[in-house]
Amino acid sequence: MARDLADVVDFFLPPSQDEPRRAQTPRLPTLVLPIGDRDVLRAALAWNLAVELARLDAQPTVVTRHPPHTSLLWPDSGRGPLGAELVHAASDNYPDLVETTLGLAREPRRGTGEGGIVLLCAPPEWVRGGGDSATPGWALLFTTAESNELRETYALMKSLVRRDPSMRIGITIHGARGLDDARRAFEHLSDVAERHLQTMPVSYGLLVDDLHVYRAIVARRPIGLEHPQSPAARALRDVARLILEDAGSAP
Amino acid sequence: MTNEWSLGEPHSRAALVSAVARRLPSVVSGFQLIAENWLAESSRIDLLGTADGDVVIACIADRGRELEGLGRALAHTQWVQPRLSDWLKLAPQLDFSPDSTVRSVLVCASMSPETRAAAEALPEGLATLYHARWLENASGADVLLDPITKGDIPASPAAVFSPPTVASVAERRKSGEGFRTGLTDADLDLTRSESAEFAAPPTGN
Repeated sequence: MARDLADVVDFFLPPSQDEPRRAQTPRLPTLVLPIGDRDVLRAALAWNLAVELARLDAQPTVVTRHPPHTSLLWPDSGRGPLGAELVHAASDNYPDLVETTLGLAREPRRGTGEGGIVLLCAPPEWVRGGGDSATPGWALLFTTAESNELRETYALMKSLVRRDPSMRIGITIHGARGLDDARRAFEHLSDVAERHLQTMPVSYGLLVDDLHVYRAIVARRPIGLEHPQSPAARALRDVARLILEDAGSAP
Repeated sequence: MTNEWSLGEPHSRAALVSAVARRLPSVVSGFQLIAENWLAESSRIDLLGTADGDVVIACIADRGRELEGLGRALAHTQWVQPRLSDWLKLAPQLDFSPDSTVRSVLVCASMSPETRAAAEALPEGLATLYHARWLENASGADVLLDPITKGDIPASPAAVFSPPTVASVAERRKSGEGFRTGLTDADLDLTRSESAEFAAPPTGN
């Protein structure tokens, strides 16, 4: 049976490189943080990072999917310490969660003082799949220096870059044994990404998994308030400062 | 009231001064309190202490009056400096010398851009600014002191945000952009020898 060229042309042409669906520009900086539904440690780091952003007067809003999926990970919704706000969005898929988040980031009343930043915390499988969602264009991935985790983080980076080659992907190393350990892990990841993906992640420092972090998880109290001068709090503050520097320097 | 910390206002200035006195040793390295409410030229120094051989004056300014507080703190340093040798005659055990540096600490619940700019124009270390937040929960109250540096200027409320751009890999390689941190091993409570223990490359990569 004769076939029209249009029916078979896809077999002979390279896959179409559709422009990534970049979200309608939000008013506030919006950062995606992939965090699993049972990932207590990364959720604690994200919430404590939000509190440090609040210490720097950045008025952060953290958006997560609604409990029960995440009820063990996050405090109750509402405004928390120093004005950091947690919003549980009633979304059961990533595109909807992104849309809700970007809607918040566009609200005129949010961040009406100095600054304002929105952190979207979503399961990695949602972020990886993406669906038909617009992308906020900026992501922060937490990883340890262990080779297995670096590999998983690289895989997540790869899926993000495939969807949006211009996405800014930040890396924060946690659980490092010291600065050199964190630097080596970041450089290793960056080197592999440069060779295979022709992109480079952006460093957002390191976080410390010390006893204060675990105590803060158990007590559900921010490290920056319980132990403001601890190494863990200083490291969180350093990462928060790097994020705000980049948010502030955006055109 | 629950065990969660929440922002509040101190019920009295004395409570704030007392809380700041308790917190200062954790934010000013080596701080030791000598005196509270010390009469200077025409007003009082809230807290007077030493830190690593320097003399430290801490002034606590009312909200909205931090620029005036900075001026007063600087005036106090000028008033204290020529008196150090006399004070040592009275109390030779104090941990400073007649030519010790006198520096100031300004604590306030608000810190205007003008005050920040004024402090930045001063010689390094002469005046350090701390943003004070009063926290309360069921078990009591405390003050959180955050040092203010140039890097702490909050993100500007841009009318519309665009994600930071990703410069080309070649450009970023050229500029030497790589791992970023403002921390040192000392911030992580690591000694030089402890740090050297982990100098070997990670295995399994």
